[in-house]
Amino acid sequence: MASLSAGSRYRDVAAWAFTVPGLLFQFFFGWFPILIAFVVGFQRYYFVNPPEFIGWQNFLDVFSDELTWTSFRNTFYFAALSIGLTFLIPIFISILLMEMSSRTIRWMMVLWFIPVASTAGIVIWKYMYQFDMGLMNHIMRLLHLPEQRWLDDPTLAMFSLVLPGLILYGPGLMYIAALQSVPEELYEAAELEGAGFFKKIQTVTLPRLRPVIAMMLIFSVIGAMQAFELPFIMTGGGPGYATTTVVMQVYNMAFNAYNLGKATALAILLFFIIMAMIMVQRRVVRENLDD
Amino acid sequence: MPLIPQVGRRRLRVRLALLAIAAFLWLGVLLHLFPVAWMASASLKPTREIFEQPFRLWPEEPTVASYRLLFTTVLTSGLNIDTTVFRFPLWVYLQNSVVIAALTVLLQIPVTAMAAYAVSKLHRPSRARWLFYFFIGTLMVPGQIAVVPRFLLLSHFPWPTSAVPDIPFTGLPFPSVSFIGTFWGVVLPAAFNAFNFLLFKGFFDTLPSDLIEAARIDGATELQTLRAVMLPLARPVVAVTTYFAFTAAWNDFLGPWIILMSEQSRWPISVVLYKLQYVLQGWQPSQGSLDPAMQQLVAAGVGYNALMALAVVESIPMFIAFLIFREQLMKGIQIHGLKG
Amino acid sequence: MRPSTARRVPPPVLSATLLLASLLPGCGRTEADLPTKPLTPAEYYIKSDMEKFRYKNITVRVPGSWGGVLLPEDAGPWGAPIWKAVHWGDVTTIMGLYNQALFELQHPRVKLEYIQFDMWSDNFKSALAVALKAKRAPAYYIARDLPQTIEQGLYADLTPLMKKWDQYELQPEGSRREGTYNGRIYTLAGNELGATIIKFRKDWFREAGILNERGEPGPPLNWTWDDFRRIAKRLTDPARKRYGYAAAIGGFSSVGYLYYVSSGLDTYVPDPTGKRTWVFNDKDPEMLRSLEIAREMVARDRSVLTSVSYGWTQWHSEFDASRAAMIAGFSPHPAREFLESPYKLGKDKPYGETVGMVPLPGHPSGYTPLRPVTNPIGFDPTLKPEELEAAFEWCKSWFYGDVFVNRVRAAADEARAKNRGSSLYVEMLCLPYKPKVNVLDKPLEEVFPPDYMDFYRRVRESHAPPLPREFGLREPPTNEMERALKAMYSEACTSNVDLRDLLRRTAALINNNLLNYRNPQDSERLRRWLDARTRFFKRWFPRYHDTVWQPRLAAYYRVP
Repeated sequence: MASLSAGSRYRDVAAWAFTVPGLLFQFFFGWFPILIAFVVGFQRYYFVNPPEFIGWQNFLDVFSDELTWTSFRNTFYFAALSIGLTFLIPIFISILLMEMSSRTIRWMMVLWFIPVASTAGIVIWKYMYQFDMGLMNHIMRLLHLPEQRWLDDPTLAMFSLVLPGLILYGPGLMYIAALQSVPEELYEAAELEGAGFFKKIQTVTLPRLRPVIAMMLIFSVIGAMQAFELPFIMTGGGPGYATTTVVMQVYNMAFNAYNLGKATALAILLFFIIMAMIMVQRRVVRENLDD
Repeated sequence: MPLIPQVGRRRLRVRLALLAIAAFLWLGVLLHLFPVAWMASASLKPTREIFEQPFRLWPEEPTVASYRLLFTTVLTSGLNIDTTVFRFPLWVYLQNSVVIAALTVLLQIPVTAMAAYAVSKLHRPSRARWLFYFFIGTLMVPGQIAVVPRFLLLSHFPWPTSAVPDIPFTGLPFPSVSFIGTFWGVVLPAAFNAFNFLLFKGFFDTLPSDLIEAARIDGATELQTLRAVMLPLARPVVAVTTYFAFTAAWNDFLGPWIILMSEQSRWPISVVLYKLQYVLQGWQPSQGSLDPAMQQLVAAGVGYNALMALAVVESIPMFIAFLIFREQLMKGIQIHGLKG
Repeated sequence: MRPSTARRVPPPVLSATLLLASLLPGCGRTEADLPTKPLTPAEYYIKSDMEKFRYKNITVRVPGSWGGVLLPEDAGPWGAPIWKAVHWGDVTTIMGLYNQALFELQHPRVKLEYIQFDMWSDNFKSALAVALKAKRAPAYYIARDLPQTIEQGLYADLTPLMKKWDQYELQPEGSRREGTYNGRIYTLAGNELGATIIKFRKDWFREAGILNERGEPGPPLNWTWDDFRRIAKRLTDPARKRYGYAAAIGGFSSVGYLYYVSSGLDTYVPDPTGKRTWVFNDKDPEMLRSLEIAREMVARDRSVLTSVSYGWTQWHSEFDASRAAMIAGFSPHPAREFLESPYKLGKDKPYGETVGMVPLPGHPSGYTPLRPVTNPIGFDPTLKPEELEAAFEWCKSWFYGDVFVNRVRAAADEARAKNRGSSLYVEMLCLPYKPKVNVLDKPLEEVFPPDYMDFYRRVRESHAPPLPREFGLREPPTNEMERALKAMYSEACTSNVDLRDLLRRTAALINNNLLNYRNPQDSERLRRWLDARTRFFKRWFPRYHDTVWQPRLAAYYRVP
């Protein structure tokens, strides 16, 4: 018995030794900043002078600033466009992709996932959108459509940000992985029962994909609501404030207006809104799962 | 395969459908490759051909002048706008990107893997559950709420404000370190990644405990067990997470932008690319005149082609990483047994 | 079997802890660290390297290209970066090093560091925030977004240093007022004096026969808003794609702003009810009129080229592309362009005869919005007193002392060798201070066109009215106000909404969101500010004071 307890004590020490670095990093750079955020959100802090507590004033400022609502409008618009238009496409493409021969699949996957650095990709598209010399207007001219101002046009700017995701359609790694785990027998069984192409998708494929889709939807929502790099590099906020997202507004408030308290209050507001969206989404998906 | 039955494949309608699907997919592949080809071709164009109409995919006279220009510097005195993008030779910026990516990967993978292994195998179940939520809880939290606080934390680590308290019984303030302007300021926040933790834990969960028991009975320490037994089996997961960590670190813009803004000698290529395109965006060839400093830059050949050359340089290591990890990546996704 | 790792503290950890503990006492700096005996330059010179190194305990970080120079970062084939600068013939950089050595010789305690810090980019503010936190900020930097940045504590208090300075009075009045908050001084006026101007095409004026009282092509010498509107309309020529005026829709260049600034109208006035410090000035009919005029000029006259996305670069490009007869600008720039790119607008169009500058239009009663301003400079608030003093000494030397003299000499040498116009003349034209020695080889009248000299004479003679911040009054946040006004003018110009309604909505927005503060001492402060302002108008613009200011004061500037 003595050796067992010593062994398990040793195992405990080893377990903690393995966990502690991760624990420390996750605490200091994962949870601690969130705690700090909830403190700074109630302070007046302008970088240089020591902060002081001012209660709810920051939140009142955030609510009364119409730029807050503009940026939320823009962010929702962007999230809706990007999720609505580009979320379903990879699912669809992945399903279609599985129809090809495995050699074709391998080739297509390799070519589809050739990486371009994300900053480089954004810059390439920015130049394609240039008014007189860009490729997009050249194509418009070829198709005898009127030239657009793309990123300079307040009404078109947000759509122009989402457009590359729409044009560059491709499969999703997660979906392919999930699809590969579907056994052939299920399809054959459905076949025997007389199911056609779409019926098979409905009864066999989609139910298997549902957990993956639900998880990816959550990540997509979080990602879309947090868009910073894409609008920052492409338009820097857009003509007027047409492409200013909430995160850009947080950045501007913190690093240009130096109002750290207000910026954090806005970030907290965004946090709660995203949490609410996720919870609503999980409830809806769970309901779907149940019926 | 599964959706279209084997039996009917001979029929014309089905074959046409298959052909249509294949064509559609190949079109997608081509569209995806188009920006890559565009980037490469624009980087090889001489200056006067950049905005030529009609668009040519392949330059008439391919030249590597842009690349050559990227590897030299432009003198700063005499220019009074921010054309100091090239204050350092390109290889310095490349080195910075490599250092950041390497440090991140070397730090993140061991820390995350060990923590996942411990939570999966070594801890008591009750503790393991609590630790698990601690580790992945931040996945559900949007990361942008932490941008400003993380910056404050890094400015006087580990205190969130510059008002550092005194060590009791002495008159000295607690030590506080500023990581702003150093590589550690970019690498340390990425030292633990919740998503990769999830992948590792998912994998370790699928490994049977008998192997570990066998190793323990043989008298190996836990570290030896991990190294000798688990890691060889975990190769695909390690490859996948390494690739993800590498690409995330290589592509990282916001982190270096905020932390390293004041130290140009430490900029990675993503920031350099952004700065260069920002400087050049004021240049519209259709408009009459140019800032004289900008004219100098343009006369030296720094234009859209140089920008694309820089983009190519930035993308090449990612492509190399992709080639290295391709096999494991394709294999790795097959073992993603992610439950909802 | 008992594993050995369980109990003992491993040796590396122990020694690391001891090392760390031994460093702790060294963490705090005490007064005993500073060498007490000051050395003269001669005494300093003979000390050893380490003694010199330890003696220099004051560091002043000078931004490169704003007083400092930066060596190239790589050496090329020359062996070391400094040789690269030498063999390139880069006298400016080498002279910068000479100045550094000279200053350190004169002030042995000081160590100058030339660092790279970009003052002029759009992300200057974020770069400054990061640099302050990284403790790598320059000792001084441009002071933007006054007065909010003063309230945020971004600049050191310069009042004691200013009081001791002999050239304090030579700072342009506008700059002095801008940087004063509640009686304390936070900014130093930079070395480029100027004013907001209207830049115009002399050749188009000549063509249209619009001459001023002296027979030169240009608007009348004391032109008014009506003159401006008339001229803009006259010079608009759709057939030749010419607009009378190009500007942004909001901000200091917009026509709405020009209108109300020409009569000294304020966008915010004291709140008569006392609930807030300020309210938006929608009661004054001139504010409504400014909206009407903006709409008329943009939509009806079509004499203004403007757009939502227009900024400084855009409207300057339109002017350079010969699409606008007039634009708003800042006066050192045409003088600089005159020297550096004399044929910018065309090979047959020498700059001096093609581009002119005049102050913004004023009021028929003689009031003019011409104000002398310059780049305000703020100092790092975390500097210790001796560091602040050293940085201030450096700035003085850079503006008009040894550093200045050497610098312009090097620039002149370089310009002569490259056969270019020397920037020395522009610097002397715009320098508010008196240099140590005369560096001009010929008088400025021989270099610049007479109307440029005349303009600068007027700038130096102009005055700036007292600002609320000098009396401790908190002014509304500049960027947000500008944004709200820009949105208002944008809507007025691009749609058909009822202007009264628009004004009311904007007033509600501004009053509720931007002006909702008050301090109990504000009544007293407002009264003092208004008295100072009245005295100012009475002294410099008596007709305006009698006919415009007094009625306005009585009607709209009531203090509770």
